[in-house]
Amino acid sequence: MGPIGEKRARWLAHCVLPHEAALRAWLRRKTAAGLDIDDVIQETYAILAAKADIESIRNPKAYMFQVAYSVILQELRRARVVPISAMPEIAELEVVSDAPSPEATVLAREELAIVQRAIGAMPRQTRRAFTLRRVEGVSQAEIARLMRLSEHSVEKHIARGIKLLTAAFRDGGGTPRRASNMEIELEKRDIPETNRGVH
Amino acid sequence: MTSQKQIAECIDDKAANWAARLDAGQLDAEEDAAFRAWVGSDTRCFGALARAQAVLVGSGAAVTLADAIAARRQLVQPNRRWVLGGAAAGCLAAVGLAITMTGRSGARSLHFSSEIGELRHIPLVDGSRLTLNTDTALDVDYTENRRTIRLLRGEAFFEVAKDEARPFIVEGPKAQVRTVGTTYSVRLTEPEEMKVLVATGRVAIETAGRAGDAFAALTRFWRADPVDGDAVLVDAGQEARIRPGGSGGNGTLVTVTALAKDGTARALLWRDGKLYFEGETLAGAVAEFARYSYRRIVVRDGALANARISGLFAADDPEGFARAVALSLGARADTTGGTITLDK
Repeated sequence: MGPIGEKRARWLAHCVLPHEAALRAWLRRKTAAGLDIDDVIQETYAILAAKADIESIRNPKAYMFQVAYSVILQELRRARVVPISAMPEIAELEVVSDAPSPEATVLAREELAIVQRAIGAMPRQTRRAFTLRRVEGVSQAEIARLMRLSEHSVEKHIARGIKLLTAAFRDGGGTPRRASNMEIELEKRDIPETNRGVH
Repeated sequence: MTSQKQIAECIDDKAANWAARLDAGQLDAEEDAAFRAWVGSDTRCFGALARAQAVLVGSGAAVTLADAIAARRQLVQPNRRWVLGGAAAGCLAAVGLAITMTGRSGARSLHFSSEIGELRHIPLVDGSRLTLNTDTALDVDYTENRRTIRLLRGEAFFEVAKDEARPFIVEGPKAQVRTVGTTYSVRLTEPEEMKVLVATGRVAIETAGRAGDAFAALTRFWRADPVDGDAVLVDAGQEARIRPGGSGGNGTLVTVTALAKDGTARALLWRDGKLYFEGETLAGAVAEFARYSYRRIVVRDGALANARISGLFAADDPEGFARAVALSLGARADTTGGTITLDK
């Protein structure tokens, strides 16, 4: 197995990532102790990333929950422990599984908010590198030249950005873990603005 | 289970590192072997990698262009930035707020601005709320007996908390909009032109020409129903256009038109990051998109530019708009760098 394609990555980003926090909350409520939620999440992504046909998935959220549930069942069989609390939920999932998700636009907005907040909270250099790469499509090599950093440093900034964003999706975009927002605000305040007089 | 927990976190970290490495370019033979060994060692590694790649790819669409511009700007060397001068500094106005002391009565004036592609919500102390559209700047100046907003550029939506004793006044280049509590938007279009769209309640538009001079207009108090002809009243569902004209070119013209049913709500969809068109020319729609992004749509074909289009679009997605237009008008959309070209 190698890296996933751009198209699949986009699908995961827009249809699956925004539900991760909800899935974690569900797993925390419904599963017995002794099951590592991070493991279940990673296994779930592995299955969703490798699935041959995603076109037929009409409700990615319900599908994601079902996959996670199957991962749990597999773990349970392996561990020979059966937490009863997880069982009845699957019925609920089946009810919603075939309906197209009505929350697509809300979701997009949430995703946007999470990403913007997380990027806003990134350390300055990381934020610059990450934004140049992802929004402007500047290559890492070019960013290294522009920011006068080694390519290795740029790669480190990108990796750091991914880690911070991953954490944001894990927590559902709750309180940012860093206080570097202030730093960024202060920095911007220093830039003078021309006076477009109206008087 | 703590050890397993650590492993999961460790996998996430490694996945982020690999996603960044893969994004940097081709792996050499040694790296490729290391990568395959890692990703094949456990399905969780593959899952974590897929997630990290999704995070990286998905973030692009969600980030406003303003961020990109800010990132670029910070790369400009100081002396060069100086040479670029006012235009650059003006366009790329600072986000955040600067507090300055004004002379009279020591009142505090607050400055707010938004960058291109950005939407800002600003709650004020009196319970009023401002929404700044793309590329907008304004000053807020609250004193004991009046609440003043100076709109310097762009467009903003005002939700004014009712306070009979303290009128809320938005000052534009040729006129000011006075109210005690209502919701409306004000947009500066041409350098000396302004549009006022009232969503609820009623506002009074006072022009410098009608009031004698701007200072007189500033010092006059709000009357619920002015009858002296100094102000033009605009009600909910109406739009006023204010522009220079009359009095040998020194006066100000105010035109009030009633919008079609739902017209107000549609015109205010920018607050949700959306643009609504109904029978506008493609050229007009393209000009509207230009306000929200540094990416440019160029229409090559004259007939195409005059074609009428309708629909609801995301303001920050000119590519998506161009693709939709191309599809419905049988045209071609090509993107090169920051320019999207539409042609037959």
